[in-house]
Amino acid sequence: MKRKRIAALVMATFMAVSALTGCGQSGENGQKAETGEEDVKESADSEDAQEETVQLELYAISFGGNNDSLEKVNQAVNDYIRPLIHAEVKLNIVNFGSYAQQVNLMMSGDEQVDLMLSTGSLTSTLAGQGALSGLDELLAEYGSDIIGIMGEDVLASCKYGGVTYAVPTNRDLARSMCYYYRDDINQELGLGLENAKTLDDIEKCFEIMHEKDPDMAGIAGNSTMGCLFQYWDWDPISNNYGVLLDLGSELKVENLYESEGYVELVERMYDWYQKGYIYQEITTSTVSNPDLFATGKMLGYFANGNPTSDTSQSQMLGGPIRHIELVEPYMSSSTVQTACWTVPHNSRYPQKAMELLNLMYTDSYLVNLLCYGIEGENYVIKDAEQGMIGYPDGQDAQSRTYDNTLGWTWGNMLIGYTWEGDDPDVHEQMTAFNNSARRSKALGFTFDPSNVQNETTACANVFAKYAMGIESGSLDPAQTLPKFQEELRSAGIDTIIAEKQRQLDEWAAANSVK
Amino acid sequence: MRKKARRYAPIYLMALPALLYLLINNYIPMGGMVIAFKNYQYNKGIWGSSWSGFKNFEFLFKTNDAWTITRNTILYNLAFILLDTIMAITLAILLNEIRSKKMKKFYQTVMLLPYLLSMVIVSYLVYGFLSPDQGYVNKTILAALKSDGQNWYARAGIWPFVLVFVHMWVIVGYNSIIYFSTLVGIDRSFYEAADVDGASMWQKICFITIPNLKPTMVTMCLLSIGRIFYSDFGLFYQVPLNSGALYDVTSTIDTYVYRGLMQSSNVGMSSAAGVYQSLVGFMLVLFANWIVNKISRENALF
Repeated sequence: MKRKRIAALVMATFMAVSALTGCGQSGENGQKAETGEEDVKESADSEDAQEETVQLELYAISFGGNNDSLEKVNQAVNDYIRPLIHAEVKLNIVNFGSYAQQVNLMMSGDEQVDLMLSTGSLTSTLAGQGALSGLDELLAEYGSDIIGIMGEDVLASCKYGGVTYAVPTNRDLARSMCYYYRDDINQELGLGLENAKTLDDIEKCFEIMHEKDPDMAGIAGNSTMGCLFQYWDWDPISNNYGVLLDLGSELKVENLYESEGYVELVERMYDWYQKGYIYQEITTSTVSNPDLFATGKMLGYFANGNPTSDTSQSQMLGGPIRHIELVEPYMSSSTVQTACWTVPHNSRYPQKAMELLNLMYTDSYLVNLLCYGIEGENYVIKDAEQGMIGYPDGQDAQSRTYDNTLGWTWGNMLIGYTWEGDDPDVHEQMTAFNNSARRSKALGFTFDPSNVQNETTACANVFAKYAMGIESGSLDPAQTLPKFQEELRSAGIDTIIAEKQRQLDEWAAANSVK
Repeated sequence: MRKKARRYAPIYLMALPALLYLLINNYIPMGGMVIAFKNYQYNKGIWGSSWSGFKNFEFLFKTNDAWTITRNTILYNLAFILLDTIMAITLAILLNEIRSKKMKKFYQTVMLLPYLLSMVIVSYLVYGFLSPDQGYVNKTILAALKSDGQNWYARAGIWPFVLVFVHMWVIVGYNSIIYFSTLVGIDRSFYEAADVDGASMWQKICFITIPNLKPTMVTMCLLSIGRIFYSDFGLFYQVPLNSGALYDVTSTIDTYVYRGLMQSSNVGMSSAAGVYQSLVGFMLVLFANWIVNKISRENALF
């Protein structure tokens, strides 16, 4: 009996001790990391001649393309930047579908994130909650080239409460809305999409398509990519709850979901869905567009457009893609904010992060590496004089191992090579496209949602419930649209609109915009 | 007193790791509830952020969300508890009547299988039936009836039944095995005596089997009531494929909190929803315990 008790005592002590040491160890590690951080900060402050190489963590997105060469490219990037800025970087590429979630988790935990790509309204949400570092001083000191390249007026679109929190990538800063289609299928079935100009024309082509191949869907999409009409011919002012209709030609904030244009669009989508023109699984499927198109039963989809989009979309989907422009190119704060780089509050080396970012806007070697991969492996030079590149022999959009469709996320793609199939002067075209696009009157204005957090979250919950179904045509707008509008109103969309109008008026008065 | 302490010391010492675990894992994080009452700023941390009172809770009550998710959580779980018990007992009794030992083993295994599947797999099994384009229901059954296919993932009406059905399919086999083990333990002489008295099968079930199962039933029910607010996340999130059109009937407090944190990116508001969940859950456990106290004291939790 006694022996048993002693055995129990020994066991209990052992268990308790092992549990305690378990905790102790992790505590020690945490401490080490902290002191390490201080060391580096100090050495950076004293600007030793013998600078230590620091490790940066960078987060960017992909849309699920094959990226097997990423590690090699990362290695090459490090070999290149180490002597230049005494830093190495880890490229973390996250699928766009789960990116916002990943970012939330990273911000909530205290993970090291030094440079982070942010998309759309995520930037203002994060900035409003103090998750991002202000960049004004860093930009002035270590990123002055960026200011020169992007221009003060474009950078102003990424200011929140007077502080710059993000730097937009240099790409298509304006946006047109297009319908993209597989030209080979179009010609094979004789649909005549090349002559189509409007949604009505496209509808007629769909009719022929459906007759000839009832299994073919005219519009592809999936539940992770969001709705079909997040953007159309309105300036969303960061989140679509209260918009400027008609491309921001008036400074009057209105309820998008009750506007005539929106109702017309969703009614048409319902009609199309019922007739089988839209992929029937669109609200539940999680299959990515490239995989959907690989089935050969998808004709096209809606997306925004720019001078390179035919080539880039063809590359992504592995087939000849043409487009029909449905909404003319326009620039608003939201189109500028589509992709921008931020330095989160938990960056360990903000100064190095800015130095790297500056390189991403000015160093064409680095830009080519990030956008297209390693020369000879992921691309070869086809025309040295014009800086034209293409796939090495035996590689194509299906078999490539580095995702070269993401140039628009990597800083300044306009100083890099051009891809075979694009016009040699496509970068100049892009700049011209940006400069000539129609500008929303509210360009440069960003909405600060902190006074209407509750309303915005409530609206977002309502949006999540209805929008995908309504905008993809799978729900009947005659029944659900009134419910959607009603719930938005009780969630407080009118309060948001009033607040937006107030801020917009103040901004307009301060900047003398009429 | 000292003697007592010495006598029990090893036992307490043995409990220490588990107590520490409880403290670290379950009690210390409760401090995080404070975020729900703060205007949380990432760079200022929890204590540096300013207080905001009940402001974070407002969004829950702006729409009917709070009511919808509470209703769903409670009603689904009540349906589960009721139907699970009935089905599991029925199955256990049927199983008990099978004479062939081999077949008995076979049925037991087959019934248990769904319980071992991950909910993600279950969700795609359901998708196989209900997919609007390729699903068995639309493609085969409705096509044979010459009737038009439906987009099931947009029709909220059918989902209460689908979810209850799927839940039962998954769980009933497992529960019935627990009842079955009690059944096996019932003294055979009861049945022999009943046979002598000329009792019918039905009478034997009503007057011997069911009364003998009662303690197990009470324990099982209590266990499930205590867990009402751990709504089966996989079932409510994965099986409807997170389809927005179904939120009214598939949102439970768990999935709502999850979506809140993942989509709205507002830490304060999602922990407000979390606090709401804990409060309602706590009240439910107290309520359930009160009822059990009335019915059978010895089974109550406290």
